[in-house]
Amino acid sequence: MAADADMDSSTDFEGLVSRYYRPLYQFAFSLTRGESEARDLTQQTFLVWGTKGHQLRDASKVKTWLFSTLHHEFLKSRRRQTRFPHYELEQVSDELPVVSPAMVDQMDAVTVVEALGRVDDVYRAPLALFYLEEHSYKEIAEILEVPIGTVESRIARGKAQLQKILLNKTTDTKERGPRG
Amino acid sequence: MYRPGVDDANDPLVVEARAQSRRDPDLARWFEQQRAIDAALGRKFKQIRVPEGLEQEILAERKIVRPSIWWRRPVLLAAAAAAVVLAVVADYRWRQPEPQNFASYRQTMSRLVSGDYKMMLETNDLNAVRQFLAANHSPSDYVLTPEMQKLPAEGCALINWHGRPVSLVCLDRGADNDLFLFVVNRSALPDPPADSTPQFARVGQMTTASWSIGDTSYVLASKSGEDALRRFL
Repeated sequence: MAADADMDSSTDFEGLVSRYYRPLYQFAFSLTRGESEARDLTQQTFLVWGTKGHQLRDASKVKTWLFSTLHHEFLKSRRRQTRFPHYELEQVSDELPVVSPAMVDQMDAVTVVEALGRVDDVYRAPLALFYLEEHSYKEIAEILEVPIGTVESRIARGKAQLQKILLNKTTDTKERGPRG
Repeated sequence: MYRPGVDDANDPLVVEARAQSRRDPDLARWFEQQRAIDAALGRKFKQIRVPEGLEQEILAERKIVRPSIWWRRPVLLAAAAAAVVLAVVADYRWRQPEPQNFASYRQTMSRLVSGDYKMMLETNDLNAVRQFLAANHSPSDYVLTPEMQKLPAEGCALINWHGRPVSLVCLDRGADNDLFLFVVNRSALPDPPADSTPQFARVGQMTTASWSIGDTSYVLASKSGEDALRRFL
């Protein structure tokens, strides 16, 4: 009965919305870079919960279920799902460019999300989930339905791409100098 | 990249990496630098502005599927459809901290039709309702009073109460006066209504009448008052 009570509290619709709509929207925005589409994806996710959520029997999986559903909806909206190569972590560990935390701190969120948008599709979702810090590697693997090793390598590769883009952005800005 | 508080600190790979970074100062510095960058980037992602009112929009969207709107599609459409619309069950296995007695059952069922739920079948054909319930192993040998039989159906749903199937039959009385008939096997209730004499009770905004005939117990609920309910018994 205790498990049922837990299920009840964690699957209450208003409670779920209150708890997860923000990170879900942020995840959606990271994927789409558009407020309207991110908003639709977030709403759609909860609508799907309304029709299929009852099939979930394990309350501890609610969060993963919601993020996974949003990701599915995103892929559906793109109408394509490509198989991507699997890179080993060792291949990318030396590729990380040097972006300093101070450099990142000076950027705004929009700049970072724009940079994420230029990262290869395959890395974008795991990277967003990683940075939103809502999920462990294991959970990210469950959400994206790929092996954990693939998640690790995609995050590592994605980080390298993202940091490179951010570094170039910073360099470009410095070279252009202030407007006027 | 291990994140304290997020990733599993006992993961063998994490354990090994941390041990190695303790032995190798360069690796430790690199690790700390990457963590600082990750943290800075993480802060940016969490700064993504969430539109004001989104939470309310989601909740409002949910309410669209409440019976007062979602369920009240033109009867002709429903009659033509006579098919499963949504395989959604108001599954009360998830909502079972309440005691398993009749009062609790009646309250749960009344709340169900006062709040969020969806029909599985939309039709105004009472025979189609019965067939659908039977096909889904939900109580279907219920007896409708002659007055109830004069009403068109609106649809039905399957409900699970503490592992026992409950049939919900909705009868169309127009506006906000529909009748909701809950049918369950008597054995599902430790203290079912004793006999065929209806017992009336107010539950929230619903008025209910409860009775038992043979192996079956009934709860009839409506937003109409007791007098209105009596006309259908």
